[in-house]
Amino acid sequence: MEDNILIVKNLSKEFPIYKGLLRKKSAIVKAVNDVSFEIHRGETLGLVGESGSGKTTLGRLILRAIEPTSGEVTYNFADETNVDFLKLNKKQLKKTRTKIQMVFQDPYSSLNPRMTVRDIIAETLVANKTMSRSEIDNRVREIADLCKLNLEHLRRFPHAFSGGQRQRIGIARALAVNPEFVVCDESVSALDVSVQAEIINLFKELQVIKNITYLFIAHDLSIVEHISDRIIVMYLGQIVEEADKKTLFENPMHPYTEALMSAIPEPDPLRKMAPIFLEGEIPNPMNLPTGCYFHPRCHYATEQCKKEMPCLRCFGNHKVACHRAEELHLKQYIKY
Amino acid sequence: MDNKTLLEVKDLAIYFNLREGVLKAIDGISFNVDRNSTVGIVGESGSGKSVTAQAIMRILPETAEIKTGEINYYKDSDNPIKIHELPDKSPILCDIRGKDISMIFQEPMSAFSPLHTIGHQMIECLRLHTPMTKQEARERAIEMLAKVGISNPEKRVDQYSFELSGGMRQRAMIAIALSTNPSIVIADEPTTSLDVTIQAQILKLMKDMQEEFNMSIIFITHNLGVIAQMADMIQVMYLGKIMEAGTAEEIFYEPRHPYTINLLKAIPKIGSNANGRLEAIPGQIPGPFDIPKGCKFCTRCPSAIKGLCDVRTPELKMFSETHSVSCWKCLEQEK
Amino acid sequence: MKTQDENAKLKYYTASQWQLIWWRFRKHRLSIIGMTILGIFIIFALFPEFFAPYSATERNGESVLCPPSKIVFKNAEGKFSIVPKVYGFKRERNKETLKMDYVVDESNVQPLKFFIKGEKYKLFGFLPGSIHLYGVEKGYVHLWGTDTMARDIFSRTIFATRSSLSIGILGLAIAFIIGLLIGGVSGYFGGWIDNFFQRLTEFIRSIPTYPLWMGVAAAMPREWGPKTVYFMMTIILGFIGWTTLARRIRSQIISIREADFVIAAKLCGASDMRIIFKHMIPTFISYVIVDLTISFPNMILSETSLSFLGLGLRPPVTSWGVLLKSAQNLNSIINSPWMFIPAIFVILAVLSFSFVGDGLRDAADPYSEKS
Repeated sequence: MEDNILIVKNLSKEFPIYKGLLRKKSAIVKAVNDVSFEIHRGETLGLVGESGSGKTTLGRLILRAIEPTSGEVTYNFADETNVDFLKLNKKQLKKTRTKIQMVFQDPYSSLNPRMTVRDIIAETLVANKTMSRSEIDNRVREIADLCKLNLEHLRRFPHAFSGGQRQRIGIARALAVNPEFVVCDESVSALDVSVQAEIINLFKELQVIKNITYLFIAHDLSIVEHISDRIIVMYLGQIVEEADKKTLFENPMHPYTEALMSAIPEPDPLRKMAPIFLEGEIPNPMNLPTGCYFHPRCHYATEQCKKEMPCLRCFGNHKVACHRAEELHLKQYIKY
Repeated sequence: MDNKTLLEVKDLAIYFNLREGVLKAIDGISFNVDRNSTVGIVGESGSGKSVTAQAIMRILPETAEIKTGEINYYKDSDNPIKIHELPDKSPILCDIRGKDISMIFQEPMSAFSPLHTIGHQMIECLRLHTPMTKQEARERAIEMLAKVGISNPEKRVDQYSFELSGGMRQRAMIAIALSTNPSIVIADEPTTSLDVTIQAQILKLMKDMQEEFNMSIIFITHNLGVIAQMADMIQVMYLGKIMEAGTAEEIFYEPRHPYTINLLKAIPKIGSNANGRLEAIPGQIPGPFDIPKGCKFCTRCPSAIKGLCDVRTPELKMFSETHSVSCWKCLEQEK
Repeated sequence: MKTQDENAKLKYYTASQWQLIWWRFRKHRLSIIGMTILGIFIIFALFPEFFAPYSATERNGESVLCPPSKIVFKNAEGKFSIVPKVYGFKRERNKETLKMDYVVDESNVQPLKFFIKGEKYKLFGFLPGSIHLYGVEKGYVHLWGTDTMARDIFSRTIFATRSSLSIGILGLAIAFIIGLLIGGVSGYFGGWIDNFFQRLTEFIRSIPTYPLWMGVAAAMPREWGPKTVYFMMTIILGFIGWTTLARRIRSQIISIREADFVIAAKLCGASDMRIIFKHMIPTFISYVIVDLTISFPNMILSETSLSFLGLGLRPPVTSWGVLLKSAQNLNSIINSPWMFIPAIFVILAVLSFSFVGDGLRDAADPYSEKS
């Protein structure tokens, strides 16, 4: 049995669409659709998908930044407390929130412009009311130092910082309470290339020092590949493939993963990419196709794919949601 | 000037006069665009890559000023049109803009007017630059939409931009840009807001179109992967200066400038050194009003020479006919 | 040189929102002028007893509709002198029209004195004093003439500033509290609560204001004293004026309800109240203040218009509207145009508030410019 810090079972989120003066429910968007997975303690799980895949919603659901429609989220923390996260009341939730945190995508909109860096980092500590002011100050300095922020800058306001430094502040805020689990939602995609690497390194260092488990959400496969141990690929609110990263890149079993990997632009002028083009565009989530959601764009689709929705099947540690997973021999990513 | 050159940018400097002071967006850059080739400009935020595009199109904001330099457009091989000298509303400029040189923007949503159909905007553009009748222009618009891979072009031509998806909108943008048969297309981060699979399609489309229409592309991006896939010649920009220029092979296989070398090391590469650290460039990109003296990269350069790099701007050093580097270290090594 | 530069930068980096707003605001010259004028008005409103030479009700005997006094800087020999002097007036019957006219009485010269002891008053109702900013020792000085009851118009205008400004401030305060409450609740909770308050807002906005005011004013019993009327006026103005503010606050709350930093605060475990008051409201309070400043002139104008129509404040309470009402006949337009001087105060106040509002609006978002 794996040591799992998080077990997600059949998690779904539906957004109703209202229309007209009387706010009649006219449609339902299934942003996350019956998703189940586990995260092992101490690992980094990468979550990739294109826009509309529901990856951001999923990240927020497991922190209850948005309330899920149905499903189960269970945390097993290091002190062996099991928490049925969705059933917590306000008080318990507040306590649990000190163990799970989030780092956001946009380093500009995620920091309150009206608060100093010190106050931003201290917010979780202040909200939990367990520490005195001087204790909080010490803690803030300690964590800021760890995130390589200049301690003299703590009095400054966010407007004084560039994107990379702001992201450090965001990370320091998340880590101020010593969380065991951190969701990183596209946390480096808004940064410049030369700054990005430092932040990725910082994530990795902190993971080692603090023994943090990450859910790393991103659309850039090369970054996810670099930072993750395992990778989940999402398409239209569902998991289509899950495997450790080496397996995934060497032996993709879902046609969507294959297409996604073939479209990575290589930073190498002599190795021109040969993308597998998907037909059409991502379908409207208000009007999902029948059967496998991917079939209208899939080159390998059969009659069965049009009618039956495939379930996520296990091949050892490799999970795929495709009817033809066994018979297809998909193109591996060339570098391996 | 040899017959190959289509556009020549010489010693161009563009300053913005802002309330806070003078912002040197571009500070003396030179490069050539050859006929039927792709020049890639790669740079991070504040590098001035978009301002370069705006300068060539002469769509700079009012606060900007062309301080020095020339932009010469060799429409016929001997008589360049001096774009930098043309007055703001000159008919020649209007003619070049949109007809000879057209542009593809990052955000196609804001590049289209939401009040007019896509067809209307294409027809408008065509009739402005060619003697076509309305009917001819409409036919041409439909033909172009079909060419860029938009299904059902007869129907799409009467749709509004918000009715199309992001990828389709970018295709329509390309259709408009190419409809007048331009000789240069400037693409400013054309795939940044798109998903990877769509990005691959758009990049392929641009290459196909280049072959078909015999045009040059100035491709501006921050993505080293995309630039490697698209460009023949690459200009690496940092804080308004070209640090290194060369063919794609030269830049990616024999980078000379510390900035280029470190930038290439800093991007994660799939399959390389699992779980290893990335070699990051230390420090932050300086703000627009804190641009260092001398070499712009000196504040973050691991091999900066004190008293030289932070004082004097390095001269250009040619390593081959195409490969030039602006770095004191490279010059020193030569001695 | 360099350290100076760095100090300036450090100052900028550690500057709070209000400091940044002030630094940007002070670049607007018109706004600064407006602010100065408003500052003067507020000082007038606080200490009218000192600035006005007479009380609002003191009558200068027979001098009804006396024109503004003539001020000269001449000494007895006709040479320039720094001490201003005021000529008195003689009343003479015009031989053609048989009307009583005021004629400058060159023999009756009084030096204008500053900080002069005059009529006794009680500042704020309890601080006794008798010093006035200016005055003459014998007789009367009327810088802006007198009205039909021989009262000094300058003094009355100064006193009117107090009631007009205070009515505006009180009205706005009421509007602000209602707007913050209704807008905040409406925006934060959404759903049917939002729907209900929005329809209510629309209902109130759709009532034509003047007929409503007239109706309410007519409903006020005549036997109410001027003070009661004054309070009712502010309350009415407040209860009608909150709609725009409520909408602004609601839309601001909605626009940042889903912002990353609000979600971040939620994930930090901050309570709803802490999120609203510590995280949300400070981010847009500057816009609300802009709105307040801009709607201030409306309040003043409403009061002025109502009183002018005779529906608002009544004598002996003075306000700009009351003063203008007494000037609203043909006779005063032709024969005593100085009765209109109080209108200058109204215009100045409204313009100043608008200028200040404009400046604040530009400065309200100090983060729109990246450093």
